[in-house]
Amino acid sequence: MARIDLIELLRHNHRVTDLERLYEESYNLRCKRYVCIKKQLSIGYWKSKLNMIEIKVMHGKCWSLLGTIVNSKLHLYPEEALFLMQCSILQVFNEEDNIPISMEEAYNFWLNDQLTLKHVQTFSYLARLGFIIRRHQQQQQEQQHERIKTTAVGIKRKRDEMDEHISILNINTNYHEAFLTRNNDTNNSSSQIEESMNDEMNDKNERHWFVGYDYDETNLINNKKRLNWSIDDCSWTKSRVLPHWLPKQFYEKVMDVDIPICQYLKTKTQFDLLYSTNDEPLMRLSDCKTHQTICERLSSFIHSDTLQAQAQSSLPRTPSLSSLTYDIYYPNKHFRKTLPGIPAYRLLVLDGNENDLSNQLDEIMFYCSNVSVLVALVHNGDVCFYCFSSFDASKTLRDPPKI
Amino acid sequence: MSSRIRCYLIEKQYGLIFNIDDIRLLREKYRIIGCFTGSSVAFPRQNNELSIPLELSIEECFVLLNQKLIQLFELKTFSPITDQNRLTYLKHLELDCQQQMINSINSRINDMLSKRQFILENSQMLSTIEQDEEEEEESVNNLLTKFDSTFVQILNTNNSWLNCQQSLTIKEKLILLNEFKNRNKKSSLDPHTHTLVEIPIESYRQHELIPILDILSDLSLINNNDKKLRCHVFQDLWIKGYFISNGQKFGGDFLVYTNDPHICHSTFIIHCIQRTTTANQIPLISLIAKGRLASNVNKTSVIATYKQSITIDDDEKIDYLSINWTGI
Repeated sequence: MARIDLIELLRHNHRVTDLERLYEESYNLRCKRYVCIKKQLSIGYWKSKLNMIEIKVMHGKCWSLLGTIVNSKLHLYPEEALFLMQCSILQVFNEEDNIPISMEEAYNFWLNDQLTLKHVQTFSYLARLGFIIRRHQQQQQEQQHERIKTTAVGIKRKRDEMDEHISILNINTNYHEAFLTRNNDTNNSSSQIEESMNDEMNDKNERHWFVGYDYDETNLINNKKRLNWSIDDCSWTKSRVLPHWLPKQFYEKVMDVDIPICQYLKTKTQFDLLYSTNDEPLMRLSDCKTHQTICERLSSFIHSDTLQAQAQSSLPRTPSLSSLTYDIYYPNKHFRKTLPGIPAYRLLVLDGNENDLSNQLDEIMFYCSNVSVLVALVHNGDVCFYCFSSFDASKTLRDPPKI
Repeated sequence: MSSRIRCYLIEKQYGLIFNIDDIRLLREKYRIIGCFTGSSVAFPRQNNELSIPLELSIEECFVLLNQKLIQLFELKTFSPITDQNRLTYLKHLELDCQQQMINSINSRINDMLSKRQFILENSQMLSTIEQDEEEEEESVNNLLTKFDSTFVQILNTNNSWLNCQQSLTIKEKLILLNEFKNRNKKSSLDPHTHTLVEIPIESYRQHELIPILDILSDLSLINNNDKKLRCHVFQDLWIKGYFISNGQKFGGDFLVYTNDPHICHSTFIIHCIQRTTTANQIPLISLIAKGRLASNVNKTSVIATYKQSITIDDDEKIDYLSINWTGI
């Protein structure tokens, strides 16, 4: 009996010494300070109103993957800044007193209702492994920004080609008179009108067709009035009308355009009302590409295909995005923030303490249609990932997944 | 306990502790495990060994508050730094910079002295210098005056140099001092760009701290019966001497260890369930799942609930029921 007790005691002592050694190792690993050589340290300033960190000094290679442009300056989101601070790459100052912000302050003041501690933990977990993580809304804004830039360039090029010596008024009066004479004298054919138009126009310069048109979109929207079709003023018949004010070449360039336009049938006064403003065509050459672009330009008509598509979609178009979502990309040295492409996963972060997942199921199903959904369940600091993807039973039977 | 551990309450659900000494004390003395959530300084690109801050669950905060081991605070408003604190910060920066310089010089001296044999053997000066002892001493003193006063001060306090002086001849000292001088010329690093800057963990500013005295009443958790039950179950198990951690990995509320988690695996998976009413029924399927899962991972599944109160003393006492799948 005494020998067994001695063995147990030795084992216990051995365990105790092991434990003390483990505690010591753990302490030594964690008691080090977050330090960086001043020459290699990036510096940022916390903007309390935006709750973002503006970067003033950049060092290292991580800036091609992190950050977003706000007011033409690079800014970081709080979770990105916290991750870089813990990697000893970034020091953040308070812009009011120029004293660095500590980790304590960062955790207490940067987190809010939208960005919670579990988002920070999930972001850090994946970023440490090398994944590229971008906020989902931020992606859409950047892509929009890119789109606007390219269209602006296109518009400017068209302006440069424009002929400045167009006699706007002459052509306008021709149109108006031609229409009036057409109504009064039914014998006038459309060909006569076109001839008169052709006399004044230079066929080479397409801008003559859309006289007085301002290609600056903002001015167009603000200054030019659209025709108001007041239902009370007149009676309507729906008949297919070929607009006479569109040039001959229009039909050659645009195929199968079918615009149901309602025609006024009543008196001259109402007709005058119709043309009380400057006679300027609604359509531009750049709009005459497809059915959809024409309808969007006219904006009074919804294309039937669009209506059908809306009716068919049973899922809500945009779910109530109460929680922050991320796009996850695999590590890629050619990654561009402005054109990242389709993400590998869409990440949703959920609280492991919640008992009910039914509220989030709609969100998950919405995203599943495009990409696989990764759900991060965070429970008191522990992060677990679950992957959701759309499942088609018949398709899976034909092509079973390779395990 | 005279000075309590400072803990910050985040989102009214989690406590964060930033001081590593406090974290060590909580683990070694008070059996509080928590969960590290920050990146490690030494190995920032891995998830196995994380570092500060330590996240405490609401149950751990509840127990520690009741035992008066921690002070729980909430920070709401960001206060700018006062002049006094700014001076403290600047002094700290200056001291840090000086200390780094001293350490750097000391390490260079130690490095050189460790290789002195090699330096002396390869030096050509030994054969060329032919002076009297007095002249040699004078030349050593002259050479020392050419150095920076800080360097001389550090040299005179360096233990390795003081120990070596007894064994070194004056010629050898001259050679080594010349070597110091040459090395200093070559490595002329700008101290301003090459100092180490610390990213602070604790704040220099004094923010308004709102103390939390009792979690259940201050955070209106009295009406949340599930959280209240979990807090009481945690407290009960902690008082009995167990180590308790998060049970999410096994589908439970807590994992209970008989000894430190560094040494042994967990023994029990605790599920906190309210007493059955017509609304809160425990489906049999979930009981089966709990039992089978626990047996497959060599643990015991335990259901914890409030005792049916017969007397006032029985209020908030916990009853436990274990489930074992026999395999039939």
